[in-house]
Amino acid sequence: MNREDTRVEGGCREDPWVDRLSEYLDGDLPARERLEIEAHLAGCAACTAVLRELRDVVARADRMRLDSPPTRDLWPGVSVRLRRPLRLAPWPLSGASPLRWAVPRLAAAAVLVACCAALVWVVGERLRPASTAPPVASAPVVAPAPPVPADREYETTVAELRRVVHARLTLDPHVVEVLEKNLAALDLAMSDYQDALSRQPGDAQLRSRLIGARDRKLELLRRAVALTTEGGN
Amino acid sequence: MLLSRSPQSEVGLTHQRTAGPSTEDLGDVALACKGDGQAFERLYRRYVARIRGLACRMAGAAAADELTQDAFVRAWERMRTFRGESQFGTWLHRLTVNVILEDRRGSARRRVFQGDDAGAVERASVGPADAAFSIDFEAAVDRLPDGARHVFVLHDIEGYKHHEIAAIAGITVGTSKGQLHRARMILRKHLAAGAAGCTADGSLP
Repeated sequence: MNREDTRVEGGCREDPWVDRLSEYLDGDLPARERLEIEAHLAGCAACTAVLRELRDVVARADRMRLDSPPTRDLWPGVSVRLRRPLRLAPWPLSGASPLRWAVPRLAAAAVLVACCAALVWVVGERLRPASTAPPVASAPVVAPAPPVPADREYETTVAELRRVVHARLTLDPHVVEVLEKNLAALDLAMSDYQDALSRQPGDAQLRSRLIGARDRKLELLRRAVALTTEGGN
Repeated sequence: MLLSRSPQSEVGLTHQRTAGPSTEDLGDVALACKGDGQAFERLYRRYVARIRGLACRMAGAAAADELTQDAFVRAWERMRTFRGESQFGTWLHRLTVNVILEDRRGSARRRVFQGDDAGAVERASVGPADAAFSIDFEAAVDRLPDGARHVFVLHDIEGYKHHEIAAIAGITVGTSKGQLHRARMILRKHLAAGAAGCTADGSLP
């Protein structure tokens, strides 16, 4: 490599001072070394050129803007991952309760949810890095959300959680399969409860079970999100 | 830590550093610690652009939204550990850096990104076939090898000191200095290529 090539690549490559130019630029060199490098720079055009270019880089970095507003509202994706109790909208009137169908389905779903939660936990533990972070303070309990159309909030929450899970999904395919089965089972049970409530809107037991099923679904999705986020997945 | 750079950038964290404690922040932090989601949303609105900017620089635009959300969820979870000894913005900024670095360590399983290898250095370095890229300084920063980019962003853009970077990233001060120099040496080629003059279509004359 001729002298010119060496200069273009990085000053006097054979010169150990090249690797100290950033420290010199930042004022991080001890006084004695600083004097030595200044003496060197006085007689080395190549290193002086590199130093000038490094200065340009630092100046450009200083001019880079710090803010970068998102192009879409990211808050919904944050808020769904905070624990927040949901409210149900009033249900339409009339009809008899097919509770006898919903209960077995929900019971089956609950068993599946428990299995899935255990599986997710086990996988999460396995994926967790050996050097775990310090214990995380428990999440603060959120005050009840202001009144909003509950069904819309619920659907938005579920959709957002699903979006997050699928955007990051590299979970074990078996876990994904169990997750989807659980969600389907819970959806089926909730559908039955909703049918029942449409005919018997005053049934507090039905309403309570529907809320419970919804909470379980949200919890399941949150666990999946947490697994993809915290397990280094 | 120097987060304040210029009057034009006095927003978000920088504003926090130059204007002293924000009573707005203090009030909202206190409420959020008690579980007030609306107060936390106000904090989010106040800082989201700044936090996303950090995520963009450190991890690239493609991952920035996700990491921004992760950072705010983590902030919510750890809100009670914020003792008010620093500005909330500074605390949030540091927490975000941790979230991003943790993500990058584990992201090989989730995303394709440039590893800290010789190939990455070559890809980030300017070449005659990549002249259009060479004039885009921000793109050049994005394409730095991970280690060099993280240190460059934290030191030259965000204003952290080497000992702070070393503590956050779990590296030595010497490594931090080495990575910074490496990043600058790569980037100077982009500037030099740009200064040499590129045609409108990005080709070298």
